[in-house]
Amino acid sequence: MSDVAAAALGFFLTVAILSYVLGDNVLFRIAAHLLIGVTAGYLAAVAWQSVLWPQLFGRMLNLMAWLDPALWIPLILVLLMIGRSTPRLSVLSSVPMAFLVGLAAAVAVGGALTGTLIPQIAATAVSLSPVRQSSGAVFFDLESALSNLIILVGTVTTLAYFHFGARPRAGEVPARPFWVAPLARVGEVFLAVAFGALYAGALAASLTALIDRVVFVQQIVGRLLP
Amino acid sequence: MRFKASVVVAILTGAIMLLGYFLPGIFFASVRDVMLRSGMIIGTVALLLGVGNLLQVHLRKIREQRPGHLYSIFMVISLFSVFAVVVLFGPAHPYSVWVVSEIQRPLEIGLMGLLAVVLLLAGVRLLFRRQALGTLVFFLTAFLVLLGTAPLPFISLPFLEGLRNWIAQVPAVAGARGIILGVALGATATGLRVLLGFDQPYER
Amino acid sequence: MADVRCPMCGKPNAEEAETCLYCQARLKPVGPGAAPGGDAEPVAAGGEPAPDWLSRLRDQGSPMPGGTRELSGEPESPTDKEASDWLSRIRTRADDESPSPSGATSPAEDVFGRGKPAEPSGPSPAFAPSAGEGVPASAATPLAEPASEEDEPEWLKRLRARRAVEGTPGAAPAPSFPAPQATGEGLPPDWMHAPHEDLATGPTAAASPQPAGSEGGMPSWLSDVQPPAPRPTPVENVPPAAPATPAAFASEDDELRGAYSEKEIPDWLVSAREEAAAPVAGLAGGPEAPTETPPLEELLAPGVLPEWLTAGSSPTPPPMEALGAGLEQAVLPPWLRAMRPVEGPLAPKGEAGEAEERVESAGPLAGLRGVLPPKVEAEVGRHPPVLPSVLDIQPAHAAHAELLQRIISTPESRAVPRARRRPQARPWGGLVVLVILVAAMIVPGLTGTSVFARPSVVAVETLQTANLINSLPLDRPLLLAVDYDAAASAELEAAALAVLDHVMTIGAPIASVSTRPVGPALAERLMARTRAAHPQYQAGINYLPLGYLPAGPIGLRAFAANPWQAVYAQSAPESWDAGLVAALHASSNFSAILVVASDPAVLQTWIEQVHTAVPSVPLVAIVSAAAEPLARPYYESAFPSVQGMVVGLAGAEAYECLNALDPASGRCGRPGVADSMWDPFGMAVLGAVLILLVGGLASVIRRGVISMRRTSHE
Repeated sequence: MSDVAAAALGFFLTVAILSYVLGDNVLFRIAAHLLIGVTAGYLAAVAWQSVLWPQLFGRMLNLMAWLDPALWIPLILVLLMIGRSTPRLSVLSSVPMAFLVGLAAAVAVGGALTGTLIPQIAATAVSLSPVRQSSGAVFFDLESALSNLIILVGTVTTLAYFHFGARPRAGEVPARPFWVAPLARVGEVFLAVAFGALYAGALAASLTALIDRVVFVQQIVGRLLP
Repeated sequence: MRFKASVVVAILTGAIMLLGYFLPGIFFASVRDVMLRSGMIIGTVALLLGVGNLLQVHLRKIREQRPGHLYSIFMVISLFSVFAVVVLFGPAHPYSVWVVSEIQRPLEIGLMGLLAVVLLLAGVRLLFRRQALGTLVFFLTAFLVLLGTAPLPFISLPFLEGLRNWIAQVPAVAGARGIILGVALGATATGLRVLLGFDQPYER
Repeated sequence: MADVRCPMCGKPNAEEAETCLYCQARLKPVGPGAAPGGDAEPVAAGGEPAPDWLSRLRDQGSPMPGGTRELSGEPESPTDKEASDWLSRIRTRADDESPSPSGATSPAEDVFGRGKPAEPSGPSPAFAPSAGEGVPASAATPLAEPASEEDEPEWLKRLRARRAVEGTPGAAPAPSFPAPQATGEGLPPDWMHAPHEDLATGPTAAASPQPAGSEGGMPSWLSDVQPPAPRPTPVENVPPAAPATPAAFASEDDELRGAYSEKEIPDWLVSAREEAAAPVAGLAGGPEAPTETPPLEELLAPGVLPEWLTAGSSPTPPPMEALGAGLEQAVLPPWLRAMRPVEGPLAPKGEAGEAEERVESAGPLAGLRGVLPPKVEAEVGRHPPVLPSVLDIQPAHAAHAELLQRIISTPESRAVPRARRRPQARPWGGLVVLVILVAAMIVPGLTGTSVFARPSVVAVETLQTANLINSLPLDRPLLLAVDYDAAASAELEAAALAVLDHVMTIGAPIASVSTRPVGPALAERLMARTRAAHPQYQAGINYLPLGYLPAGPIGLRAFAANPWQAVYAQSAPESWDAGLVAALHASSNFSAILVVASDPAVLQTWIEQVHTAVPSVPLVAIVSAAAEPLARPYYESAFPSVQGMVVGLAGAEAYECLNALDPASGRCGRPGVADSMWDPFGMAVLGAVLILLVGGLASVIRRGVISMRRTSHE
């Protein structure tokens, strides 16, 4: 019985969503609002069940836990956050958000530096020489050298494409330095390749999703038909 | 007063956290742990406040019987139902998993499937509107990657798969690395502006 | 009165302030010309006390009557005494500083050429003669004969010098601007003086036999450059006893409406239509009179343009201008921009005809473009704008306005392209595409045949993943990060199940965590699907569901520091394996990290926050095909952050083959989830490629047909 209900529900929801190709309609809107409600409800419940209760409110029942600053510091900040509407507390209402933003900014900067900027620059700055040494033997690896060159050129020119700094000139539209423009043109080609790959990947992923639904509907219809 | 307090908090928090990345030590580690755990809790509360706001908007819409309030009824009922199920049984209980598998998953996958239609229409539109070098490179890459990814009927073309892999590994990586570096530079600059107090997004 | 009201924002400022405290607009003139409002005396016509409403307006710095006076150059009336102190002081200073050689004629009067009626000289009196042959410059246009060379703007001097060197007629001693002043060519556009006129000459306009906009449908700023002689009631001749009453405003509005309704065509459209056939005399006269109008090329030459056209030279540059001064406009590549599915307000302005079409932002027409003509806005009965102060029009401003007018009236920019009809949306396009794709997908299921070959080339990253899992230690848990949305579950579950099947086959314990709220349920779903083949994986024994990790990168950083504290912070359930739980107190205890992600940013966060904290723990990524291009740079490196990858359905299919490879035949053995989708996937991709190819072919044919038609027309 549960399987039948699940199949019927899944069938209805799939058809409702796909009906959007015919234009915005009642079925699609119901499905969209259902999705928002389910997602928000699940999110709120998980936030309570997985974070707020075990990390904050549940621990408040344990007196020894009050010695841990990781209990009362967030509690104070949460109270400040909730007490935004109270005039006396509104003076400090931006403190929790400032704390969160400062923390997130530091985490983002530290992570970007150590996890992306340095490793990716190091990955680009590789030897372009075709002569390689491996366990004492010297050999030519033209393919790797060429690939490294292409990656170097592509990375630098793509970055140049995103360079919009310009020096204002009297009576003329600000323009990039003369040497950036040709680099940016080359970078545009590499960007086109990257976006082409992204497009193909997104298409493949969405086709897989569509297959999941079409096969599901096909199975339901197959069950219903004799 | 408020301005100064929040700016000082943001700068101090960021500075301690950032120093913890580069100066390992017990002091920084313990302070950092407390700050991170506090940040997790505050972030969760902020998320809940967002859900509360969403609920408030739709409840008001229902109460005032504005256009589309019937859809809001669906939204509110589903929100409360799912919240009750997950809070009562837990996020990994079979009932909760049923909700995700049989309601949320079909809806989201259906939307993702619609994306295929939208992407194809956008591709055709691009072909109709603009025929330039960028368009040519874009579609050539997309064709080769698609044909190299998917199987072909009756035949297997290792050359095509190899070409697809080369595109993905060399020129596409070059372009993507440029994008990633640009994004990382931007994120670093934005973060530093916040940490130095030039930007204060936490101020209302 | 101690305050000076800002001419731009109308807010009070200290008397001695140079610039407005609120909008940074200059309060005092910088040029050697007259002071603002020097001649703008808020005098009631006929010297009678002004009505209350007029007084209030005057208190607000309204220029209404004063504007008339200023433009008409009337001598001061006794009621000038009633003017406020600050105005008197400014006026005094203006009188002292004014370079105007014409005595009573104010600079503004000179600029607009309305102070005195232009002297007729032939059939087209105002436009035909140049300064030297027609009107005495000193009489008609005092400004045109500047008091001294120092009064000229710098750019004008440079231009003159250049012309002198080049020996053009402009090198003649006659200054460049007399004739435009005399003929009205140099009149500033409507936005410079229209408010004055509207407010101050309301009765005049009402009395005029020619209603606004009736001059052949030309825009008002073009009508101003018509010969002044035919004007029946020059402003100067207006009896001063005509206060601008509200009734007068109303009548003017009515008249305006009537004019528009008669035409039914907006002015700008009429002017665009007529610009080729009947160029305005004043504008056309410019290029024909070399002594009056320098060629546009010269005006635009580097170093010639006035300061106000060059960035950063303004004494009080607007903040936004200053911010954008060093930046070039950032744009998407045009070929990418063309992919936008929705034509909305972000449409590029460069496209022909689009700039003129408004996008409705409210009501039932919201989102539609160009359904209402712009004249609707003009027809709405609006109160005439109330200016906070008298416009500070100086010779330099007039010259700049003249230049601007000339620039915008060049044939290139005046040519308004015909609004291009946007192709109608194709409501059936999406349905056709969907039908083709669905038909392609169900064919393999209906026929029951499998015609698509399995991947012949296993990608290196997939092989590395398999090798890494083969070498996993079995005493430490593998961390499974279920970080994808339900939307990507069709693709990623297939890949994750293939890899998990391998992990469970070798018997490595697993701990799962997620930064997505729905992650715990999806992890449980994954484990439930593997339980039939691997029943030994039960929660707490070989599998620890760690649940949800909030706050994105913050949570991940906390997890890297102390996994157990970050996700639980309480005692573990009694049924859980104590050894496994103990291993969770340091992230370095994980044997490997297996991130299943649909979003490359999520993988990036895992790398930045967790892998950098424990670089010794290998990280393997199972990513959606959509995320591959942005995830791969972390793998393609001499020191990769990602040690193995499985990408999309193709990677899942390859991994399934690796899992169940028959060594004897070399063929895939046990089919999995990916294998069941492989044939529909092949058909769907073929269908998609076909759609794109047909689209490309159709676009080529369409362009060919269009060019053929064009050729035949020619």
